Amino acid sequence: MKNWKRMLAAGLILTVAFGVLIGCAPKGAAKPQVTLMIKLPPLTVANADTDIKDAYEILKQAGQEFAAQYANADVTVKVVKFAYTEEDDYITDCFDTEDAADVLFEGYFNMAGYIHTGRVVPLDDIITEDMRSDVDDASWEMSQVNGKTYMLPYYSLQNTLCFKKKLFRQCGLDEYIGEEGTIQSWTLDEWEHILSTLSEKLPKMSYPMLMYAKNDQGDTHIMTLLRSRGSEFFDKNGRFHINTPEGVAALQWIADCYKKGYFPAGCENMEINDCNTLFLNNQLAIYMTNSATAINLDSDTMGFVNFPSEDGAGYNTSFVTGFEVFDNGDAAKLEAAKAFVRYFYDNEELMNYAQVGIPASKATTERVSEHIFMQEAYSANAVNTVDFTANNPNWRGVRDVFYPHIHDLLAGNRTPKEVAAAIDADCNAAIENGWANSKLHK
Amino acid sequence: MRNWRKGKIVAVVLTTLVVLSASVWAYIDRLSHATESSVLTFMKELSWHDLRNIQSELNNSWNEIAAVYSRTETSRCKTIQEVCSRLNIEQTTNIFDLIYLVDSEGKTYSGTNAVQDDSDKIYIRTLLSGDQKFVMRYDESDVLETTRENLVYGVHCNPFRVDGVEFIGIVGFAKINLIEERLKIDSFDQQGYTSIIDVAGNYVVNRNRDAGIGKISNYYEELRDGANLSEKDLESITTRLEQRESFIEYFDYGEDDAQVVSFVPIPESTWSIVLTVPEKVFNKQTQHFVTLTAIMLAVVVLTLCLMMLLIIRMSATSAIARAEAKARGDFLSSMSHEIRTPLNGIVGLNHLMQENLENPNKLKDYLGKSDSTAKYLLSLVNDILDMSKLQAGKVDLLLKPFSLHHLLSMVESITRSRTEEKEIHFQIESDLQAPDLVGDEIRVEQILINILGNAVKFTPKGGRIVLRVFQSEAAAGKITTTFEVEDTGCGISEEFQKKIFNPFSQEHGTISKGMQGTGLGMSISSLLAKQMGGTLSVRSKLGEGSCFTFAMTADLADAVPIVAVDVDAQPLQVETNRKLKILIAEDNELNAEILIELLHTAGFDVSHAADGGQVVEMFEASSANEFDVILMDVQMPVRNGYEAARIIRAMDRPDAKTVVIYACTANTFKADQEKAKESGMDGFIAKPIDVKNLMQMLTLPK
Repeated sequence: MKNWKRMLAAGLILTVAFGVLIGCAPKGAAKPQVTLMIKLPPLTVANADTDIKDAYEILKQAGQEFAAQYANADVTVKVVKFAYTEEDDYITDCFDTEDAADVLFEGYFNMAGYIHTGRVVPLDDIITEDMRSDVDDASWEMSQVNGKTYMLPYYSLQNTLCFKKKLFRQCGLDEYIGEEGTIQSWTLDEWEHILSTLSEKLPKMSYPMLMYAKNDQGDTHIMTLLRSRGSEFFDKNGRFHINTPEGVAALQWIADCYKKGYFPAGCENMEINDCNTLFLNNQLAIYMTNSATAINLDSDTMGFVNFPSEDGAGYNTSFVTGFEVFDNGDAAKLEAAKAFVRYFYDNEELMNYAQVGIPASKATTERVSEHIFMQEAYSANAVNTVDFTANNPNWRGVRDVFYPHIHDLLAGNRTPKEVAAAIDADCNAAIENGWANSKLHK
Repeated sequence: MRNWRKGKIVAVVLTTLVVLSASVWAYIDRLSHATESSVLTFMKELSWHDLRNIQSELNNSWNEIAAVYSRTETSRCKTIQEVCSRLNIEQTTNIFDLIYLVDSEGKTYSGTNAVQDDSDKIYIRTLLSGDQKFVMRYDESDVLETTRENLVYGVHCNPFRVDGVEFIGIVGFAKINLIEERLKIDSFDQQGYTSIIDVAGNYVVNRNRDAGIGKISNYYEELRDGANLSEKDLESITTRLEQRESFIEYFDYGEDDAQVVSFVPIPESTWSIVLTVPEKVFNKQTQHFVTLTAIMLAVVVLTLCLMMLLIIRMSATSAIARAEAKARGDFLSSMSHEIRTPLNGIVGLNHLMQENLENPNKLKDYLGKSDSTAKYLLSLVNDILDMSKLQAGKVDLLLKPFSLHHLLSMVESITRSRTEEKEIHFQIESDLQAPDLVGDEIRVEQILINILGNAVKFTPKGGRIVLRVFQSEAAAGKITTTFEVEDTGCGISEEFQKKIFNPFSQEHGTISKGMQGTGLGMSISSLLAKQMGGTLSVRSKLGEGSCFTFAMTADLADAVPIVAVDVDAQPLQVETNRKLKILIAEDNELNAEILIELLHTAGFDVSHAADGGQVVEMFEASSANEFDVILMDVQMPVRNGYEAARIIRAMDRPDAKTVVIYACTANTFKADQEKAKESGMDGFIAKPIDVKNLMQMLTLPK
């Protein structure tokens, strides 16, 4: 009986001691629960080793892999793809809500504006020396404001025009079809000849060249056309400077082209997608492209040509696609978002998808060089690249006010001179507004 | 008995709780059902509201696209380019981003000038298959960058021809956001949401954009994966929807909570409206009602309780008042009866005396009985006054040191003569540790005399009465003294023992029959004992005797000298060589006449003043030392006896301070005696006057 009591007492003491030990033992700090919201518009990527072409899929994969190895928090990654026309709904309208983007993957020309909201954080703390030297200075320069890096470049695409060789041949323009894998440039006279010939010889319901003004999509290309008569486009302060003889001449050229039937009938009510449909349907001879969209356009049947310029060398635009990280007031989220971007850049497989354009990373470029579409031609044509944003803030505001003036020009509602003045006034007002409201993240 | 009552209370409480719980449960159950029914009805109404909304949107869109076709037809275009230009303009004025005219071969003609063979496209096939109108979700995803989620509306129209092309219908592409806006209906505090699914369960509008644009989530897959629905269950749902049936289902999503879902098919389409409400909304609604009801019930119950409390208190007060009134009534009734009885005797005896004036023997007998009855009446009145004052709490105990030895000696002397008369053996046994106490000796004596008086009264000849006195220590400086009076009398029945201390209680048994008493003695004793902080109890057995026990706790006192005789009034000392001259102040003529006659008969020289004014005047007018004694009635006209005494004492004459003034009044309370002393009187003679005592006071040397 006594033994039984001793055993019971010993058991109780052990139980209490064990409980105390457990109670006193340092508990593993509970990891914060973090939901990372990564957003992107529809963007094409390419990787010769996989069939994946949708950047959405890559980010989903990257998100899952990142969450699995991230130690500082339990991360759930949500990837949301929005239509370009719904960007405000998904980005600015979601500020201060649980749907706010933590990471944005998009083209710089839209993303640059968000830097001035004060919500985009500098990423210099995650950029190592190796990483900095792996990207060319021009790309870093495009990514910076006041010396701080707010965007991480992933790849760049060079926008040029393209044409249907078949239609050219049908119209007897064989001599203007250059060699395979080259980017051509035509003089203004050649442009006039080609367009007039196409207009004359293409069958009914077919048109020589793209034009649209229904919305802001593809407005960069129309802006590039405004340089065709020698306009510098921006003044030395980076403000719109179209209301010049050269700018007005370019607008006049556009108006004349429409009158001459060089553009699709009713193009003032069309959008870039409509021109894409006409081009695919062989109803449009000259359209725009880059290495990402060329995949869908049967590049073998196309020739590539720069936008017209007064000197005949032609213009192209180049835009960078990359990452931005937003500070939504949650330190754990911000830390995870930065870690995600860093994880992405450290992953060769993920970086290889930049081969859809010219990868920002030199190392990646070297790795996937053989798979980069027309790498040599695009590299050689880089000398004709023009800056189409001048790193101005509120570029979305600029885009909102630009296309209605082109619509007015095409609809014949206003003269080229009036349109030039209106573009300068409204676009510069948007830029001034952007600077006035500019707030950089501390 | 007590346990039975306790059990009864517990049973009542438990029964009340059970009934209350059952009522509450039944109420909440009914409330839940009612709320659930109400929410379900509301869900149905919402679904029908959504349905009308969507139907309106669809009909407007179909009408609009059909109107474009009609206007294009009536514009009499001669070329396809003109048709396309017409559509280009139309596109700028309606909700459609893209409008296609469709020819009989499935080619499409758009406002963007595109002419395409779209006969393989689902929306063209649907139109060509003969559907008069349709709507479907169609996502353009051929080119990633131009991915677009559309709603495609199609209307089959009357054919018309342009440039050899026969148009048979029209389709319009609208942004899916338009109908999404229509579905943004705030219900149940934004917890309920409306979706549209097609026949395959695909969301027409993705509620959750996680999947990204161009990727359609499937509702049935969500049910299968989230709510574990079997294929059979899903088939049942699709069958019912195909049969155009509206219904409500409950799906359990496990940890993600349960959902109540309303399905309503949309006419003229393959779509259905799905209104989903989390189950917690139902619970919340019920909880809300329950909380409100509980608060309301609590308020009602509280109010009722307060009202009940008020009523109970009022009833209790009223009952006490009634009981007091009844007690007063009973007391008065008893008193009336008790007083009338001896009065009746006196009146009767007076009548008999008048009838027998010539018969001295009978007259003597009647006079003796009349005297005895009058004395009884006097004691009765005294007891009633005592009782009345005790019940009103107006009796103040006169606490002063006294000796128990002296008390017992007094008691013995009073009792002894009576016991000897009845040949009863009377014995006092005392064991006193501290005989000197502080207390009201007179009242203690009154209690003991009462008890002993009863004992003598009810103990038969040859019986035995023992007074035992013993003490026990109480708190510091105090001692408890217990007096036990045990007799071998007739005893008291158990029933009467319960009410022996009630006023006017007398047992009417064969043994006690004929024993006259007021019935107030025990009651007065009991009240006095209580006022002293003591107890008075009785134990008795009928036919064997009784034992009364009176216990009191008192402060200890220093040794008290024993005084042999203690009287209130100082006897008068007069010169013996002349008649004592007495001035009587009495307003009542009869009383004055009796008193004058008594004193004359006794040999005193008597003068009479009829009121308080006259007595002062007569004294003032008298020569010095003319009056030896003033018998002063207290309640008189002009001025009362106290005032008159004060004035006389205040007079500037040699005998003002020395003349003996006795208060002669029916007010016999201690306070009256004190008041008499304060006004300068020398003594107190109570009315009715005890002649023997009066003579003693007037004749004994001072």
